[in-house]
Amino acid sequence: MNSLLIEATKATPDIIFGTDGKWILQGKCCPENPISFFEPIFEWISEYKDSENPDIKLDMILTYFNTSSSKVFLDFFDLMVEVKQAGKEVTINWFYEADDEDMMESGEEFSEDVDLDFNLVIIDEQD
Amino acid sequence: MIEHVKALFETLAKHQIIVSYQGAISNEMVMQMGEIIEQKQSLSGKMKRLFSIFLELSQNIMRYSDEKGFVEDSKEPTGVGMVAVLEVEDRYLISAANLIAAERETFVKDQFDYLNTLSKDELKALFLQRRKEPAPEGSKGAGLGLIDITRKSSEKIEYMFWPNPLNVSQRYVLILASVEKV
Repeated sequence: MNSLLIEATKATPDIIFGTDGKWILQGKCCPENPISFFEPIFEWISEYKDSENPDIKLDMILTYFNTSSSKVFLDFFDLMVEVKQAGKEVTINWFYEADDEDMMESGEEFSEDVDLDFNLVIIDEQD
Repeated sequence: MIEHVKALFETLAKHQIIVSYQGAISNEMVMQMGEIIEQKQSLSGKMKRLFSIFLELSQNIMRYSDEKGFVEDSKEPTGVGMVAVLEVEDRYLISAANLIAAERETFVKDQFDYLNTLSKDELKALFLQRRKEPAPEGSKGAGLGLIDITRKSSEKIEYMFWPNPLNVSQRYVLILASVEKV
């Protein structure tokens, strides 16, 4: 299978999911219909789950997301739990800017709702 | 006719308007207006709530307005309404108005009244609970927008209803949220 690359739009994030297990989701996620945006991503992940590809480290670097995306993120994490149950390690790094308490809290809330290794990571602006 | 337009512009000039729009709303337009909000403010930390509330209010209009229209690049009709972000002394006001079916007024009012009774912690708990449940019937989003708006607003949500003079089966609903500058 090939890596999954979806270029960002004004309302949707960059998706860079490599077959090497290094995955990045970066930008805004505010589409009108997040279910249709995530559909091909979910299909790709299901294929990855059953492949021989390595463990996954996913960086989620979001500036904004709407509430309907928030609900789809839960389905997304549920699917990642299935990937974990299929035998791959899954690590989620949830990035937030130091002064963005809401984004940090969102990360905490997801980490409490799903059974995955969830790291909250402050974005270092000097990088 | 020029006096007519002058009266409008005089009204507009009385307010510190960051973004204001009336008409059919597409997601593309919401994101473009969002960029204006971002440029106007250095949106860091708490101020990002301004963008989030604006986004949820606008997407509410797109989904739930009882008046539909077309924007240039869309084949599907989208909701018509009004949105505005204003700057007053110590805060920003984020506001939206659109038409709803008259029989929905009680339902919408009850929702606002209920959410306004909840503390920030209770709103968080309700948000997390609803997020896990299947979307309510008739909800085209996640049914979470209004909870999130109430959660992020510095003050309780204010609202008003009034009749549509052109159609007795419709009412206008106006929602007002705010974000403190501090």
